[in-house]
Amino acid sequence: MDREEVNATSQIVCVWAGILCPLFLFAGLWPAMKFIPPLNPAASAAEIATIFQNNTNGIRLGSIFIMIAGALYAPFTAVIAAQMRRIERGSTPVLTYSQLAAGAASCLLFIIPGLAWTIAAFRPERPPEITQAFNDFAWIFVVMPFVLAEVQNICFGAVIISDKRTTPLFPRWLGFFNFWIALSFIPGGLTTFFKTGPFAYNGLLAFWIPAGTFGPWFIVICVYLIKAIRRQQAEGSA
Amino acid sequence: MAATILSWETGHASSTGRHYAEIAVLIVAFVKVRIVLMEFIEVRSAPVILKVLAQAWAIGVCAVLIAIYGRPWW
Amino acid sequence: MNYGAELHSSKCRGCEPQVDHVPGEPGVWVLLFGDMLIFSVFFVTYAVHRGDNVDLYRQSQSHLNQVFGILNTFLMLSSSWCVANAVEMARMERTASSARLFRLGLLCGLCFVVVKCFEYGEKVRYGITPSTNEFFMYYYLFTGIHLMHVVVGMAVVGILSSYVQKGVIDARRLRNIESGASFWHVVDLLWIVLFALFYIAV
Repeated sequence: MDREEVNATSQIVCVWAGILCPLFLFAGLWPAMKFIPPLNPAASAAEIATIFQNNTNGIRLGSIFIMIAGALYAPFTAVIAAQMRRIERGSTPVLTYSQLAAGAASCLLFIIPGLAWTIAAFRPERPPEITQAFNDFAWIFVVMPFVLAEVQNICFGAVIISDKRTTPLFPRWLGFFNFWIALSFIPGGLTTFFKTGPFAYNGLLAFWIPAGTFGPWFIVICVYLIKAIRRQQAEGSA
Repeated sequence: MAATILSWETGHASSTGRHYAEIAVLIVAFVKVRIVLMEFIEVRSAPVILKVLAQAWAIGVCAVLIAIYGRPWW
Repeated sequence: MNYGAELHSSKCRGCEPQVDHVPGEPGVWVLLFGDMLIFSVFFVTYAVHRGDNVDLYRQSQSHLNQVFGILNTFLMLSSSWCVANAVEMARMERTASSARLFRLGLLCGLCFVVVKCFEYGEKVRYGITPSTNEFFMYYYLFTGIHLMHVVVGMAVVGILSSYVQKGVIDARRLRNIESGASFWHVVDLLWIVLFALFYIAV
């Protein structure tokens, strides 16, 4: 009986994209742009403009890193979808498709803010209000669209726990872990109402909690993706 | 249920007695939490690790909250 | 996974599960503890900011409707009681009673939501919104996020009420029932803390 072509190498490459994605995001945000801790939504336009004038090239470089992170998110999403497909058998793997669609859209959640910041840094001598507007645009884009992550994580989690194999592809707790990650992004959705306090885009609940769960999520998922792929390779099964 | 009424009644004191009443309210709340954990969720008959974690959470959060509530006095 | 042994230990007419039985499954506790952890951060954040402005918080607290608060606590505890007994019924394979109790728990949950709507509505009509002051921001947002959990929990309990009658109560079915029930109990327990933090005015 022919072993089905498992494409393990491509899959592992995609997982590595998933490992590099948060690294590029972090490298962009912190060493380059110095945006960790995040800028203050309550700061004046003049203060924001000054930041962009003082660290212009850092911000420009960081934007490139963040864009790369966004692109890397695509193969990461794809390999998750590929493994989900193995669980969600049949001709209508809609949860897999939903995850794929949400993940694809999520690439823009990196790219667009990155570009907004770099556009602000493109002409730092602009009127400060314009710089501030682009800055707000970027931060809110990063923190607020939790809804896409919800779809992605809930679909992935749901498929994991629906696995009927005797030895599931992914440990069941990973499904619930995905649900928890989805939960942790919710406070970010409220950030538009606040310029100070824990729900502002530099706040504990809107920024730091999701930031704290986002990185570990990548690492945990990538570890288990690799395990699943290795198993797939060993079994030669789809 | 009795604990709920008890904490509601306790909530009618005065001045620094107020602070102690607030602490009492917190303690009663976490006693209730522990009851829900032990009886409703049946953590009572769960493996040790779960029992420890659940109770550690209840005790830990309660203690931290009481400590923070006492901040004006530090 | 050896369902046989679990089956014997968890199904026992009218008696408690044996020792070392994880309510639901270990995996779901990642979610439950995780959720409890996030709410703990909420609680601590509230307490810290309260410490900065105790008088404002105490004064604002007096505007909360204690009756609604107590009523909601009563509803939450009752619905948890119903759900806990529903699980017990399921263990005894009395699936019809179990389904009824789940539905009763669901009804209590629905009443909770209705009371909350009245409560928020009353506040808003009075002019108190999340932007009124810091206390009310936390009040609206944390009870609001909790309310979202209640709605999700209601969906879970609703599903359980039909799930319990879908087939044989084997170990896997019981495990799933316990998982869902545990989520509801966690929602209850989080409310108990919220009630103590926000409503009980001293």
